[in-house]
Amino acid sequence: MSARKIAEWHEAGLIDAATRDRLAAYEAAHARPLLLWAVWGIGALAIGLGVVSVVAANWEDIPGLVRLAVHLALIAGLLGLLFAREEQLAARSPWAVEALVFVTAALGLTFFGHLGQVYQTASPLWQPLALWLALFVPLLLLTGRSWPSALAVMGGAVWTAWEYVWASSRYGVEPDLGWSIWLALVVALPVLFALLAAWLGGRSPREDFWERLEQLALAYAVAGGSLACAVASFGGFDGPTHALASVLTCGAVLVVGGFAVVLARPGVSGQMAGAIIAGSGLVMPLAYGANDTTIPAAILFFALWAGIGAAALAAQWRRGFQQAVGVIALRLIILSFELAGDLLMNGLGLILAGVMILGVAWGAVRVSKRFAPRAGGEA
Amino acid sequence: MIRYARLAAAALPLLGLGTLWAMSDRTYNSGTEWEVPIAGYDPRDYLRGHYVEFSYDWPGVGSDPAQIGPEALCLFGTAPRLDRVTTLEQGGPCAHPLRASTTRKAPSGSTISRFEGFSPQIACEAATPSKEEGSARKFSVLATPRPTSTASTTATASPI
Repeated sequence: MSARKIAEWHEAGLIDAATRDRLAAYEAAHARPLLLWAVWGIGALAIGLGVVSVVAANWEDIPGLVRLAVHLALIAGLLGLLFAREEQLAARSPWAVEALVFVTAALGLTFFGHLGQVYQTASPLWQPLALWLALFVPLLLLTGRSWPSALAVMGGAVWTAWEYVWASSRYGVEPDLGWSIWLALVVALPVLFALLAAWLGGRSPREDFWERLEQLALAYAVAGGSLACAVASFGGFDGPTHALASVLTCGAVLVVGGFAVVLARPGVSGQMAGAIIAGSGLVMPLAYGANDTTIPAAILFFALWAGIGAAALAAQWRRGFQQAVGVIALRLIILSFELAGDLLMNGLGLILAGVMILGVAWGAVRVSKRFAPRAGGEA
Repeated sequence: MIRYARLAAAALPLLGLGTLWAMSDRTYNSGTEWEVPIAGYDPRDYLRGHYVEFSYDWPGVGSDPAQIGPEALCLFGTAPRLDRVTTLEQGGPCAHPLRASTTRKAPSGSTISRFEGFSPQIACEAATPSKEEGSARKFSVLATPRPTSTASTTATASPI
């Protein structure tokens, strides 16, 4: 807000002198010199790129031990700074701490690759990922402030789980029953971060971090339920021998996790988050039952997302409700193509499809605007 | 209490990465070098740069997919010169045994063994840009086996 505008409002009689002075004082205290920041940013970026270029051009000439020592010293320096100055930094800006934690964790992850380059070691990717998780997740959980740290925790856990499953089931080897259950358990385990977040969210001053972590875990659960419906729609459960055992295991973990979230976080928001996670788990075995069908699998998908929309309404999550409406609309369009794909082969069919897409989009926007809760309340 | 937890959370990554580095360094520097022929080529990739794809051409065993899957090998010769290799039977006598850390079946039915520590270091000059990019080429590899069968190996390769 410029001082010129405030002066204009005063001259137009919209605000009195006292208000003008208070506004001017407030703006002066909260000024954000974006242009100056941009110049600083461009300068810092140029220096950073220059340093990276010089190091990269001479990478092979720098002894491996020196590179590793500098890498580890950087991590040590950032860890020391975090431990010694976290409170002071957070008081000035939580984002400073968040950036420090995230960069430290990222440097830690790249250290594994650096070690592999210097010593020519090799291993399945899940092993360094799992070790990184074990070493850095405590730090992220104890100092994370917002979504980058939450994303690092949840993304790291999901990536590790899927890499482990991928590495354990390659080369066309069909896993036996026990191994199938174990792999399904590993894939589903990251959802339990929702329970941790729900339990600690109300007990920690870093509410934003736990809220983001719970949202990410919830999104993972919903993605699992949706994926099961999508797999069922093209008969994907026919392939694996022990698909039912895998689906039941994943579903059971999600149902148990969902109920635990309800118990861990009292209130409508916690109940709805838990219900969505448990619902995603319940959908999985039902999707197995609807394998290789078009309409029943789509109905399951609609039921899951209608439930999410209803939960979002109950908990007053505006964005959650709008997303549910949007996903249902998108699935409706896909379903129409599945049922009448032949129509797309001629001009009239394309026109009809276009009109239908516009109609569904219009209906989704109307429903979303009319029924969505007011902005402000999120999970 | 929370201060100790934060201290532990800050110290854990440092200790873990430091230990991993020390273990890698110890393994790398405690081996014996062997020269092992390889068969491979040097692809070029916009993201990965120049690198080498190869498989060992064990003298006496060869690179036949059906033959390269033993769980253990016995190296014969005087390091770094490798005269021949035989499949090592369980408990058989061998001066330089090399054991596979993982063995799995390939879709083709052949067995693929991964020998602990035998992820060789290919010298950069081995991956010099090829004018016939993507074409198959032969390499010989200078592997660097270690005193123990499970130690890691370094190797240098040059086109022949």
